[in-house]
Amino acid sequence: MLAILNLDPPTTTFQLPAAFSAAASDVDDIYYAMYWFSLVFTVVITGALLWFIFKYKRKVGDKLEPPGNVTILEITWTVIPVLFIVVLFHVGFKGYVNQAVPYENALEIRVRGTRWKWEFEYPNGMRENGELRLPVNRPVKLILSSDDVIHSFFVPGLRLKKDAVPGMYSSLSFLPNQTGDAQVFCAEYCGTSHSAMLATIHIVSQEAFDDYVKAGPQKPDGLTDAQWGEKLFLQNNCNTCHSRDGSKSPGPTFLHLNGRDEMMGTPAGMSIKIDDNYLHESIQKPQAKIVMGFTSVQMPQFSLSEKQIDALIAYLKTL
Amino acid sequence: MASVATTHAAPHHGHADPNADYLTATKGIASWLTTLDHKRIGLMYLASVLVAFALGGIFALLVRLELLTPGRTIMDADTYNHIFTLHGVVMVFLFIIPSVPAAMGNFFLPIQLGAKDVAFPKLNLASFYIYVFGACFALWSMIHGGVDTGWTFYTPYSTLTNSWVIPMVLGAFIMGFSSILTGVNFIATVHKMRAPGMTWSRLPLFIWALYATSIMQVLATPVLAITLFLLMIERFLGIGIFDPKLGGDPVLFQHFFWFYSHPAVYIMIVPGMGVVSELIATFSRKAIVGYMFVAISSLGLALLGFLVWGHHLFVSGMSEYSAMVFSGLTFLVAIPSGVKVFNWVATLYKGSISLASPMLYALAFIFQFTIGGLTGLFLAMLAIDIHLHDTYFVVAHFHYVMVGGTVFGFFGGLHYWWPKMFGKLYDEKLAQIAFALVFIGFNVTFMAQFIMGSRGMPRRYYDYLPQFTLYHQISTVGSWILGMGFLVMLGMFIKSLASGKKSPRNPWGSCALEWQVPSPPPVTNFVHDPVITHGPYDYHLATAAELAED
Repeated sequence: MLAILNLDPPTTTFQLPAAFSAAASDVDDIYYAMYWFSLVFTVVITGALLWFIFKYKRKVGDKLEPPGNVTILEITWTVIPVLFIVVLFHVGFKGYVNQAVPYENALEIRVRGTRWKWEFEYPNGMRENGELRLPVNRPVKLILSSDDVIHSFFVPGLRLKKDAVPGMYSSLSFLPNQTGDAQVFCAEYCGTSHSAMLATIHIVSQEAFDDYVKAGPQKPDGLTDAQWGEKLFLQNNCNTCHSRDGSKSPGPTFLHLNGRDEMMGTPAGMSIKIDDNYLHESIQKPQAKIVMGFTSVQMPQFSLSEKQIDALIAYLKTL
Repeated sequence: MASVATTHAAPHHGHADPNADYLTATKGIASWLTTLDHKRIGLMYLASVLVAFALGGIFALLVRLELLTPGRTIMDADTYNHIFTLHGVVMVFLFIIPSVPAAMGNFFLPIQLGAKDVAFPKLNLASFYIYVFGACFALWSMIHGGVDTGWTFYTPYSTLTNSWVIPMVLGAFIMGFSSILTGVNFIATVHKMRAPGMTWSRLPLFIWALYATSIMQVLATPVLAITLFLLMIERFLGIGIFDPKLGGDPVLFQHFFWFYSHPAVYIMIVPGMGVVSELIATFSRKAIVGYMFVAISSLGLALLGFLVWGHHLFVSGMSEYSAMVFSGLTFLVAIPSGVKVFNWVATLYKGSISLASPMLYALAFIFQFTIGGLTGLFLAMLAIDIHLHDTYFVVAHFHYVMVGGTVFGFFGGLHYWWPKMFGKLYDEKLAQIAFALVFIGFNVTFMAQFIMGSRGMPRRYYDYLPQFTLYHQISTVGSWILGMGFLVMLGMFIKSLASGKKSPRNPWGSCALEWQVPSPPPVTNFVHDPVITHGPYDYHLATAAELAED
């Protein structure tokens, strides 16, 4: 698109982040065409303004001019902008449709937004929070939904954004054309930890993708259980609800968690000493036993393997 | 206009002198609180919106201060969410909507028409008290901890949060009625109260802008009232309207909300454009080029304002065809906006240009509104909007229009009409220093936000990734310069009230009607009923007496 104008900016520019798809690069061409159009326009208007205030600065004995007949001028500066906006509208809509039409035979990924994490489900049923791996050069379709309030799945690297609305499905379709990590944001305000509702899309080779989906997430080489647990803690956005320094957070703080005595709100009046079994149950069944004062907050379900839960508990005991 | 006499008739004994100036004709707090004089009501509005502006400005500075560093700087996430919401709510509902129309419109609309008052003076006072009543609800909500929904109150978040949404929404609901009643009053006044000779083609462009604004206020505000009412019903009675868990549709709320709130942003900007037309004419001593085109463009904006709400929903799951229609309609907004900018710049051509402080605000308005308008085109372009939607690019865009446009128009108007309203001159040097700080501060604050926005920084974020730190810090420093500018301006105006020289009748040498009456104007505005013989910008027809200072 716009190749005839020879406007092919590099993938990372001052105004735009690196592009991970050809369609995103097309959006960049449109963006920069619009940018230069605006810049020229602003310079012309501002230049004329500055020239006139310099040239016609008030002097004693200025002749006060009557307004001339300007109908032709008015028609000119109405019609010419109309022509411009017809072109701009066309270019903008074409680029939009280009991104909106779904690909055939796309890899379908379910994406669920919950305060405050993104959960991804692969076609084989494997689920993971906060990280999505996708094969390069293969069309993808993300099917979005929300469990609570409106979220918006925003991937600047793909120049794509779509709201995840409770009660309906929406989708995003794209074809990543280079490997690397693309940042995901939540772009629709959703409360306390809105700004921490992040995720990463790792675009990897087809082989790496196949291996990952087959084996599931494994402990990276050279990490202890507790170190892997810390990675999982952040990847699953546990930090959006549980502080690690004792400060107030939507869920109980995890500082000095192990061995702490807590009064439960659900079931009311029960007292529990926090141990491995309590932590295991609370990760798998968050609503089973809830610490007093936190019963109004709905902790979402997390799908984690036994190994991952072990690692998480190992990490939590270090806090 | 030549027939407007400035000599005072002999006062009647025992009664308040109708030719005494409106500030001193009657005395005491009660005489203000029960006044039916549009000028006093205008001043009471002015005081209220300035307090709201200061409050909203403090919230803005707190937001920027928190964003000085990633993570926690001075407050926690929940506090931040409350503060940015309050910034939006206070600035939109308490400051910017009533700013130009209710404060300056009330004061100058009747005078510019050659009328003694608005059509319904009692209704006018009622509008003011309804505004105050609504503001009290908003304050009540704020004192109890405020709201954390953003000024847009999107569902289902706003029905789930346990912050004080209901009183805040009730406040906005009540203030809406104030807005409607002011609109009705202005429309009636423009139609029925024009002085002999004040034909439609001689109406000041400020009046045209207020007229277009009033139409929007009357037609759009009821939709906001209905929407907020439905929101309250849902929260109180649990009837599913917007909440999907109750069988409602959250996107419906967005349609309703923006069906009001998009016209509302034109309610905010069009009066500012009206002020700028007055400033450009007076300080160029020239009729606005294409007067009728500029007048009609205000009505054009008012009409288009109703047809483009859908562009707020481009990523909400709207069908591609709806998006196409709303994109096309949004582009059309550029036409009347462009017509105004072109005509203002063309007016400068062969003018007799003075760069007094009000004119500086008008020129800055043109520059900043051009940027605000063009970045609006980025957002109208579907392909680009998908990327820029809900990022700081949008924040910067609407601040360029709302602050760079409306707020600059408002303060330009305040500088321009200050000598007429209070009968006092101000320190021009201080005014220009304040302008320079405000201009630089504003552009530094928001230019940085365009860049971080296009690089992917989402809005309403308490925390941010380290790569955005530099832009946030530039923006925060800009906000300090901006705040300093407003402080200097405040000092300048206080100094004027305390020790300003008495203003002559017509310090700017304008031929507009309001400058033909004494400063400050008498209670009845005109000592003798005016007969209009030429338009407000016909400098080539004005007599030397009209253009003279006294």
